[in-house]
Amino acid sequence: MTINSLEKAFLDLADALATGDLDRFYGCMLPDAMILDEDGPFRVDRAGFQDHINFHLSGTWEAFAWKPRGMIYSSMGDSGAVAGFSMFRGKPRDAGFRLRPMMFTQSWTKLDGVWRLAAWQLSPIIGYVQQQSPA
Amino acid sequence: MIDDHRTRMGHADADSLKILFMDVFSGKFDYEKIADFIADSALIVSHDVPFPLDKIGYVDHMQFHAGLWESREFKPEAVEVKVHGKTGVVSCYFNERGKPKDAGFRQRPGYMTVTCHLTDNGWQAIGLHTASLLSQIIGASPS
Repeated sequence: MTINSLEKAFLDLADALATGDLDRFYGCMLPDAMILDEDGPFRVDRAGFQDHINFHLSGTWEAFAWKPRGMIYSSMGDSGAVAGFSMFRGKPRDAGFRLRPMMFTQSWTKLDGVWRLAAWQLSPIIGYVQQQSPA
Repeated sequence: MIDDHRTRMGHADADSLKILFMDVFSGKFDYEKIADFIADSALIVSHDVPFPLDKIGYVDHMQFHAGLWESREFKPEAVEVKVHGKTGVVSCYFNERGKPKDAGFRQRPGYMTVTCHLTDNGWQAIGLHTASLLSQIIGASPS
């Protein structure tokens, strides 16, 4: 049941993003969530993440979507972990199109019966397949 | 209700998690110590491998490395620990550095997140993600 509720929480977050319901999307996250998204080489909290999303919403894209796939879930008590692949895809203004495949993990915690996102790390696949060997 | 969650456990638990994390991941790579920290049900993304692993797969990958280095260590930096109820999350930057056999030296800067749960036997990792910062640099912009 815990895995089922964790999966439901993840899918709710993904649906909120997909439908542009950003209040619900950010509401899934703790304010002090630790986030490394695929664009920035430094850690941000929820406010910093919002700031970056706002950059993307400022007119730099005609359309974009985050498409998660192949999720796996693990939980222990009120702690949850999610891992999966995702594709960030869209149409930047004045550029043809953009596809960015990546992996991600999330840390979740259930507080007062509600799963909240405590950390999110997104990392494009290119970082796993370039320069991983010394020779 | 949510806002007071960090005070319920007190800072001691964050401190204990940070001490454990540094013991496990700082300095010479200790495969057995890392494996002990990871729960059997953990989900793992390693900076070497372009697909998620379970603990068995991750240990197998660490064993692959075991005989290939003259020296290898992990240097965590800017470690942040957050505790929410019995959930602990650690994030940090790292530099994996060392001397592979038959190659000059190797440095690999990255970022990692560890999801932990406080059990009766202490902190256990149920999620681990290490990634090279190349992920954030290469192809970050369309032009």
